[in-house]
Amino acid sequence: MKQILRRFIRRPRGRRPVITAASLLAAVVLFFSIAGIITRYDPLEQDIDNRLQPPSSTHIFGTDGFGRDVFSRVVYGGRITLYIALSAVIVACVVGIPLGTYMAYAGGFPDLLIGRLIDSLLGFPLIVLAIIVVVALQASPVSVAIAITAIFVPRIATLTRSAAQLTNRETYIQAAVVTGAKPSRIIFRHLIPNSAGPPISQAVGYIGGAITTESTLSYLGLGVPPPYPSWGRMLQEGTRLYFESAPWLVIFPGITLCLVVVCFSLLAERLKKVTLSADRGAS
Amino acid sequence: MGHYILRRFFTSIAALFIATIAVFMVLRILPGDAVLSILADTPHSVQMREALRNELGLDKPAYVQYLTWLGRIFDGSFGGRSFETGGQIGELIAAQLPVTLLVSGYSIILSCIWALPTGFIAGYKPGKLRDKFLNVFSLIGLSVPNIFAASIVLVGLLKIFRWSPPIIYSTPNENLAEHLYMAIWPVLILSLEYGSHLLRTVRAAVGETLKTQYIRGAKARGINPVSLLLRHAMPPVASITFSVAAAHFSALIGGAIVLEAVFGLPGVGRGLVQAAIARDFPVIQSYSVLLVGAFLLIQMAVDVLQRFLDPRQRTAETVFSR
Repeated sequence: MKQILRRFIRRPRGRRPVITAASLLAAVVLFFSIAGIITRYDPLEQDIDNRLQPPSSTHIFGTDGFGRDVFSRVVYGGRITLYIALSAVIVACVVGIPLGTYMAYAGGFPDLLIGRLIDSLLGFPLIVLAIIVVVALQASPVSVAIAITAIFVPRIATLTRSAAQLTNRETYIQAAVVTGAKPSRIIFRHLIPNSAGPPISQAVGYIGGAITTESTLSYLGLGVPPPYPSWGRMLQEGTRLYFESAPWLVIFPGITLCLVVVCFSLLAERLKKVTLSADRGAS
Repeated sequence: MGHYILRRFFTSIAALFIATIAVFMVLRILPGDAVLSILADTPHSVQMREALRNELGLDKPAYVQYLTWLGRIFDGSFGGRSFETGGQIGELIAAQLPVTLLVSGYSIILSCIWALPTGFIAGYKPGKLRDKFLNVFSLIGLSVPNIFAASIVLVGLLKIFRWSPPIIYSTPNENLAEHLYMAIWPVLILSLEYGSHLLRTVRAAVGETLKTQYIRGAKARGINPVSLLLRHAMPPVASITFSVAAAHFSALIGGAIVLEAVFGLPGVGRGLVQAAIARDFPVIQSYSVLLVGAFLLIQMAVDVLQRFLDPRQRTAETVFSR
């Protein structure tokens, strides 16, 4: 992992877009975490006299149909979305990586059983599985996060499993078995650190997917319930209700969403390349 | 080969059953009461609630409910009746499925038309400007969320061309022009995403193939470039592209579901979203079985076809048992 990080930072060729993406993301995360300081308005505060104002110096992204400030809604909405996406992907890694490693280590029947379950879960389009889980739970940010975790666990587990199967054949694993190391020690001390690279670099890309899924759920009316601001619902309200009169309601949340997702994919793609070359360098 | 197909068939069936159990467990065992949410908008008494619970079979133990439901999947109604409308789910799906199939079919065809040649161009001379351009283009195509593209299309078209989506869907038999007019934007947005997947796959496959020894050997023998590409490089590229295209099929369906709901096409996607909002469990369950079943079927078909088409994938077992 350390080697991957070092390569990620050091390799000079072609890293400019990645640096841009990474710094943009860092800025966005910082921006969203200090939301209270940089926004002048409460995202929920209504001001009917000033409804549907175009962007100006007082409301830099304009106001929506209830006179709420679009800028602070974009910032606060982004905060919720990022919380949900990050926590969902992190939990998915925490569950998926040990699960995949265990499958590779145990093999045989447990591997087959969990493998079938994962196969059947992978058959669902992302959004369908998310819809099913959200419907089963009550509408809340937590259930959206659980739904997104549920769609990424099988993906991360499969990736880890194939990486760990390769690691499992290494001599040092056999050496550990011979010296009488316990299975838990082999899994946590040897297998996971040496197979977590590919799934983790993929997980960075999944953050973008998680953000898209959250926004899509909110767009369809199944995500974060009102009055919480969310990019998906802002897009939906903007398109459905104020189609003609107020395009800024769609453009600002939309562009922010798009930018954040594209940055995550850029970062993930670069990370994937670096992990690959690190693996090749190691073997 | 027969052996292989049979084994593949049974593992798919097993995965499908596991999926039905998973969906059922998630929907019925997690907290949340379907009866309460159905009656939420109407004044009701405890007796009415219990009567409805009894009528829908929700008072029985979970495994009985599961087996009843499983039985209904096969009795022609494809999962019994909708909680919401009382209509047979089989008829609902029969009306909605063609729309989704047409939209995804158009998207696949359109994606193949634009993405296969461009992927070939990008992979043939990697590192050139056109390769870099296509790389950035496909990365954006992959990452732009469907809902953003859809919103921009809706707002932009309305602002610039005074166009709004048709409200009533017509089948291609009724009115082909109207049909295409309504389907065109969802199809374009879908094929941007799916085509970008294809482009990247073809690019990577062409790049890898051209590096192999046998292509180098063919070059050394002085085979002309056209036949080198078509006769020698094409088969492995086609094989890889084929399997990746099938693997992304579920992403395509996911996109179609969202875009149908956005553009108001009366397909499976809009049906699923409506059922989800109404918490219409039988309908959601049937749709999930349908989608997973379709996906597993496609995967199986692709795996089997691959073994026929790609000699490298035949194992000793499949060769000898043929």
